[in-house]
Amino acid sequence: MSDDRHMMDGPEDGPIVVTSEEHAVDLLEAEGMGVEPVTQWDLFSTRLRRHRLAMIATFFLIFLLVLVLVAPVMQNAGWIDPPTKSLVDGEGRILRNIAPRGASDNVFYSEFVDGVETQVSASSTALWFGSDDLGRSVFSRVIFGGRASLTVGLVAGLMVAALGTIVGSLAGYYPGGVDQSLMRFTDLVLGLPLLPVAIVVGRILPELSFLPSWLTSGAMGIALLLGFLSWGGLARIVRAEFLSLREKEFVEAARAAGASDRRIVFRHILPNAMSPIIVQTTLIIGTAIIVEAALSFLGFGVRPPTPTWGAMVAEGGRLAVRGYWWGLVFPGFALVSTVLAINFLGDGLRDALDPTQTIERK
Amino acid sequence: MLAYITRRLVYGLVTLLALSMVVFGLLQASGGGPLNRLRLNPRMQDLIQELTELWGLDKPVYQQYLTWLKNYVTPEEFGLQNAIPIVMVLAAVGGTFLIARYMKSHWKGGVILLMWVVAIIVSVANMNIEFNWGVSFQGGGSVWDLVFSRAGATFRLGFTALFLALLIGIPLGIYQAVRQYSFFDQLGTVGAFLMFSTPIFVVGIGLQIVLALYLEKWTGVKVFYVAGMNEPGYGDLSFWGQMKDTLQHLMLPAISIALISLAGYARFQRASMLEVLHSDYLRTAKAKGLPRRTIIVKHALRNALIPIVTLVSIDIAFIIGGAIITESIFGWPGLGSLYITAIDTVDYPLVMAIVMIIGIGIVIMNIVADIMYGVMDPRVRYE
Amino acid sequence: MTEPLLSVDNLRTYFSTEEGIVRAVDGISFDLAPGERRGVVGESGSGKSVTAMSIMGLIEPPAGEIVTGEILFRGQNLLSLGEDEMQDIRGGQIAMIFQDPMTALNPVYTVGDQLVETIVLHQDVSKTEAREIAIQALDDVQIPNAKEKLFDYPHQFSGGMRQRVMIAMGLSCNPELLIADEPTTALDVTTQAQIMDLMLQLADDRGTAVLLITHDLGVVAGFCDTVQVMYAGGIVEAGTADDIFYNPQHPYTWGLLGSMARLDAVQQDRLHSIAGTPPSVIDLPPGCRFRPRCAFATDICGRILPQLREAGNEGQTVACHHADEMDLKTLAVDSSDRIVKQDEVVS
Repeated sequence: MSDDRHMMDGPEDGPIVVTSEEHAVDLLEAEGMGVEPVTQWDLFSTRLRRHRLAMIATFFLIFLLVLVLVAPVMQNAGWIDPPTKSLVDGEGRILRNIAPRGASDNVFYSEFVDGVETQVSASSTALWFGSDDLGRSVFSRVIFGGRASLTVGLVAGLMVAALGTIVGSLAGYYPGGVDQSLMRFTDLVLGLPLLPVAIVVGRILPELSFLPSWLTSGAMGIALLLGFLSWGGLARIVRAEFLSLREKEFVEAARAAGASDRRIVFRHILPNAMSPIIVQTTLIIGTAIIVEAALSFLGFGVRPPTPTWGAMVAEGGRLAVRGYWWGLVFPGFALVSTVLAINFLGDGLRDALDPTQTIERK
Repeated sequence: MLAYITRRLVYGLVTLLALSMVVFGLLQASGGGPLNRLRLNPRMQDLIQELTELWGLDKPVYQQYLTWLKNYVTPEEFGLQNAIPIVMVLAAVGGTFLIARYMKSHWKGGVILLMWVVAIIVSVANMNIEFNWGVSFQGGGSVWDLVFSRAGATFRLGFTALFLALLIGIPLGIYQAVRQYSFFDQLGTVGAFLMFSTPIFVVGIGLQIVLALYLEKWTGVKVFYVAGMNEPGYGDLSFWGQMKDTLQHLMLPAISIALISLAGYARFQRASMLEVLHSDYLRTAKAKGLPRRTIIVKHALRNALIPIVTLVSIDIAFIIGGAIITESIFGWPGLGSLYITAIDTVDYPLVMAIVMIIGIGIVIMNIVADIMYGVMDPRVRYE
Repeated sequence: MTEPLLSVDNLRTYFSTEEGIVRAVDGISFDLAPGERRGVVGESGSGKSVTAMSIMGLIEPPAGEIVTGEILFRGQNLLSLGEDEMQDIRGGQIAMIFQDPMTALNPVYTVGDQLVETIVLHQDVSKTEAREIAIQALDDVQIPNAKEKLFDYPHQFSGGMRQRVMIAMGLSCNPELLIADEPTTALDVTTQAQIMDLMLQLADDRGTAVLLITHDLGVVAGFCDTVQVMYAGGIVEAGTADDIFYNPQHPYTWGLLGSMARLDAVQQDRLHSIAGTPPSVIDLPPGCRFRPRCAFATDICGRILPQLREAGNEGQTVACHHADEMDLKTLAVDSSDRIVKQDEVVS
């Protein structure tokens, strides 16, 4: 980004001898021959790689994804502690770094820094990030909390990408009745205020006994809810792309050549509309993670004891008076850096995918 | 233009109906009827009796919904003086139409705005209307009274936050665009990204702990309060004392809300300003020999503010309705924290009332945004 | 010849991009007499517009920078002037008309506002007087109902009408030099001639010199006294319009003329283009920039950049090592659009 390029001091004067070979190369280049072909993918990856923050963000997100995927394996292997069980020291006392709320009779607790002194099982990751007032390892809980956030982000993102693209494409490709009714429906969904409605659903979700339990108690229900509430914006964008692309010459040409609707949509229009779809989906993933965290923070999201970053921040905030900073800072940091990485990636993708953008800078 | 606004109003009403059906349906689906959890409490028998009669809770869900809808939109008291607001609004609509059509001056946008402000102030001052929105399950009395006793706090918080966000965000974005790629610009960009990516509750909790809790712990001076809107002894304080007390409570939640909006405004204003700065007409203005200041202030800013006005109009609805999380963190006695308690106990008359207020606010502000766009940009025609 | 109104000397304007330094204008020199109409011709990217922007002082660092050179306007070096002094000259003594009238006017102010603003800025008049001048200016460019049109917004005008407004704005302060950057390219063919006629007539009435930038040789032939042909940031040939059209000395000029549709060309059976593309001004080949496309290129062309020198008619200058040696009349175009000597044509 920085402008560290400086002007040259002027052109070199004086004769420069060139051999005939160089002359030949010049001739070829001047006529547009002998140039390596550059594909869209080459351009895209060159641009994305130049976006340093987006690259760092990508590596961070891949690392995080792998970490939360292998978390249960690591737990089984005994490398990290179970996120929902209290840790005990050699004498069977619960290893707390903070006094439990209410009575503190006959329990052992120490400040975070003192945790080192107590005898704990070999795998105790509580020594790294400390433990909470129930003696659970904050480190494990932060890692397992990432599962909820990433599940919600990815599932909601996929759902938005699918719904938004399908609805937007149909509306954009079939003007008239289909377009009108689909867009009215889109307006309706867009008109629902996200947070208030999500809170209502989040509150009553566990009470909907007719739904399977994986939907009512875990991150999946929240993910589907947020996915369903957020596809409207993308549908509008895709529709606008389709409306403009379907009038373009290359689509006309394909149609004149007798291509089927299916072929026109999948070979000619959709690839050209991919850029806003990808960028918008990335941004939705970030928003979904934030909203899930907010729901869990308010107590209407993923139910305890399953750890989530939002609920951990809420807990940390409540206990902050008693100096419980590690329970607040680590999940808060994990949450912010994940969303930040997604937003940086989205920004990098936007720059890299814009085919009209020249490398030259104005 | 009138046809356009009418159409938008109709779409808005349909959206509101859908919203009410969705939320009503969801609340009904929870635990088999809204009164079920009240039955556990023997003291609530009278209330259960009353509500059952009022809404016909033994009837099918769709009939209950229709009863609710009828109660929600039918004013209980509708005095003659309520004609004043109606006349004012109609006059303002007509005036807007006439001015937009016949007045030839670039001040007409301001004239229209002024007219609407006067019309709304007079309307609100003469409003004496009350709806039967039911009784809160918490025994808090009439939902209408409860909502309006809380609305003032939400407005105070929302508008302070909006004011802060506009006051800082827009000049920030403009400065960043004018000094593109400078250190300050890049700092602002990184800062904006950070703010977008930080959930509001992290900001709120962070501010609360650092500036309210620990600042006092470390320095011994109370600068900000952790929660609440005013201290108990507020009434006895002098004017300046009251002012100080108000600000000490107000600033932290207001800043929490403002920071995230501010980042959005700065980012958006920067992009819109950059687009204008690279436009052909700005090059014309330069080629005419206008001083840089005039170019930026008169030619660039006027154009660059058009999209931000739309953004802010829609944001007002979300700031007012969306202070839910901040209010519950800071114990702010507004609609947002009321909503959380209402949801917690599935107090459905209260939930419905607040959700519909938020929905109505969004619909109205969307239409206002469209009108503002037309006022700001002479190219816009409503079709 | 009298003292020149504008004298550009060895102007170099470079842009820095991520791919390298773009030498958009690379060492050009020319003079413009008061009242002269000069055409600047070349392909897109040849540096015509950047020349104009450099004269107007509209090159914005850090992206673009005038590296060396002098631009003397009435003996005063514009490049050494401060921003304040330059503001007085812009729009006052040197006015500019841009290519696309659809976007060149500020959409949120009325045409009257934008005209009055310019007039008040450069003339010592009140707002009311400025309005009168503005009405007169709109009248001059033959906009009907000028008085009412003052209150209209740009989007209420057609493209041709907007360009008339731009001309009115440019000429409202009686500038000594009017720079017109492809003023009719974006317009309908039918309005092009009208606008061009009108603009040059008004400039003549005021004794304003015109620097007309265009890629349309027909426009130059019809309206200009002198012509300079630009290629890849440099001037390759300059002279009177007659010199250029009837006695071109540079192979590139010859190629340009050949690519032009002419009604009087009887023997011409088809239009031809010049084979190859202009070099990227980022990696300029050493020596003559036209060499890769030129049939006459010899060893020296690959080594030394030719400077402008007298050739052909009196006062005509050309930047070509072989200008005197080759007889352009013997040039022909072969089947692959390459310019060759007539006896080399293989069909």
